[in-house]
Amino acid sequence: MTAPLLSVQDLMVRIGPLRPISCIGFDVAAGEMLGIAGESGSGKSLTLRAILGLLPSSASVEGRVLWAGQDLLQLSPRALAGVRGREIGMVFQEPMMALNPVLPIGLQITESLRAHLGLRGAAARTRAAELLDRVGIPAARERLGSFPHEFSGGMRQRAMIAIALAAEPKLLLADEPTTALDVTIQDQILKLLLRLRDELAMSVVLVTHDLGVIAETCDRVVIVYAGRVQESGPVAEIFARPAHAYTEGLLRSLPDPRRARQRLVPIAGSPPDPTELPAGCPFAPRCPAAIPACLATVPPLAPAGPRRVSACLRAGELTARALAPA
Amino acid sequence: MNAFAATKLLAAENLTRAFPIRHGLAALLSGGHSPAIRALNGVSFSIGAGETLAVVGESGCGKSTLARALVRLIALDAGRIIFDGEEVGALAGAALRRYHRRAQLVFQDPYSSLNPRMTVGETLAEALTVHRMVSPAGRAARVAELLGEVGLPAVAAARLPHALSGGQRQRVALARALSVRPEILIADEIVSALDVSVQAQIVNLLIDLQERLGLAILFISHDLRIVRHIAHRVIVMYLGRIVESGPADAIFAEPMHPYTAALLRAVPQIGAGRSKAIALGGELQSPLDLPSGCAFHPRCPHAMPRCRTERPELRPIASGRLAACHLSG
Repeated sequence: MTAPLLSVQDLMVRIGPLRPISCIGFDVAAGEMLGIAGESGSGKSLTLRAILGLLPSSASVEGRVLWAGQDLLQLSPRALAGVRGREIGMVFQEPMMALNPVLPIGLQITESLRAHLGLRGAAARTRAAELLDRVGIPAARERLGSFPHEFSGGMRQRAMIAIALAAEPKLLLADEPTTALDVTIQDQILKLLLRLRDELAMSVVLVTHDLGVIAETCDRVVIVYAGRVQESGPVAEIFARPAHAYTEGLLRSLPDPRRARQRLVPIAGSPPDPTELPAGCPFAPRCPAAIPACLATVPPLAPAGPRRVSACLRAGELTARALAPA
Repeated sequence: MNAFAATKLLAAENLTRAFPIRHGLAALLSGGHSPAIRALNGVSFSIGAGETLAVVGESGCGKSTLARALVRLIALDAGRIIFDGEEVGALAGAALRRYHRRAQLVFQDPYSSLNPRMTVGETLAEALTVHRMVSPAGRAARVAELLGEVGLPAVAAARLPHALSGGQRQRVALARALSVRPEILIADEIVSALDVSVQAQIVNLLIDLQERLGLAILFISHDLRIVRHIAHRVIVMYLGRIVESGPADAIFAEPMHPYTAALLRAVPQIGAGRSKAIALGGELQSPLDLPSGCAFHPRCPHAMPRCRTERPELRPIASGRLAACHLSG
């Protein structure tokens, strides 16, 4: 077993009286595409920002983010800036918010090349054109002078990926990179990420609310709910046999083509208010399989098969398919 | 056969709308014709009472313009809408108000379509008052009844929108639309902003409401998984035109237009096996500068020389199915 590239352990984030992240941990292996799935407010996007120290100063972050033998949470802002963008790249959901609207795309890439690699002048421009070409922007050299508003949504996301890749990071953090895009463009961007992962031998952490996106792209998945990891493991196994009642509920609430026009099976209620988290399992109030023990204390993550963990007290019955459908 | 054809509630014929773009004063003075975005380009369809007709397509295909045109929020350049035997464009005064009661539009983002300063009860009561649906004395009871219909507790009447979750707000928006007993609901991406578990709740609610009230639903969505679940029939749009229409089961089982086929391939699926091939290359053409012939030909993997010069008409291919492709039929 080789050491993971990135290891996030016991991450906790407090913002004022709120605790949007209670306990999140996962490892990312070299060359792996890891999915983090959860609904809005689950803490999945916040996790990526916490890793890179991008949270506002009002937030307090605890735990460990181990990267290349050091804890990123303990680094000075200056040292962290050397890792961010250079060793770990990031792309966001809204490229229009992340790109500078008054700078040509080419300049935004060469800026990154100068800051991280010390490349300047013609060499930087040539490299920038190579990067745009690599992410599938046609006539890359001519497009260096284009402004973000001259690009379509898909092209902007490609340009963002080019900027993130400028310093050849070993890890790319992607926060809902395709959520704002049309389905055929989403498909193109996901295939691009997979191709780049292979070509550049980097790892990708993909945060999304769309389980279909995870199923089509990721090797492993971490399911988060109310700021906690509920289960994690290989994608195919988790989707075939979830080991957490929440995952089971999510999968069952999706439309099934064989049951068109019939009632879906939603999860009752809505996610917990972050100011009033329950004492036990955060999913227990909505869970059809909850037993008294679920309400008492937060169940810890426990092994649930090879390379799998789950925080569900009924994981064994779920994976054995011993629970009657609700 | 289409079981709803006998009770045609709304028919759209050749709906056409372009939005001119003005490029500065100089262009205006020189008198050159200004370019225009052709958002709707000869769109025709009909929907029966109690039927769910889905309109799918990517951004810029004209589906939201269609929703707004149907309730006359946007005027048409050409074409007409026939609702229950009357031409909607000719309605005025009381008759138009009556149409606006019978055809209700619900938007994607209930947070921006609900008044943030009005309680849920006030919002619902306002709709009832405007359309004189109940006597002032019966209003509170009707509000409670409406909340029950959309699965909200009666105490929700005292809440402000910000105190509700996204799913609850969408229930309020539906309750407001239902308060005036409409016959057709035009739902523009109403589940798109919701989390999956909540999405399923709203989808069930729509199916329930339709069965109970016999509503026709024009369900506009980019989410093909939900469309497949909810729709009886489907219209696929590309750059302002219908490229394919027909019964949902048939379209999803065997799409006839290459664009429909690509859309279906692009939907991320669980347990479907992965493909490294891209479902559809290229991007949407600019609606300002529509391609000659078939507007889809620059992206179409099957394009032939004829597709560049001759626009395929939307024509019957099989029972209840239309497609606009030189290759089909």
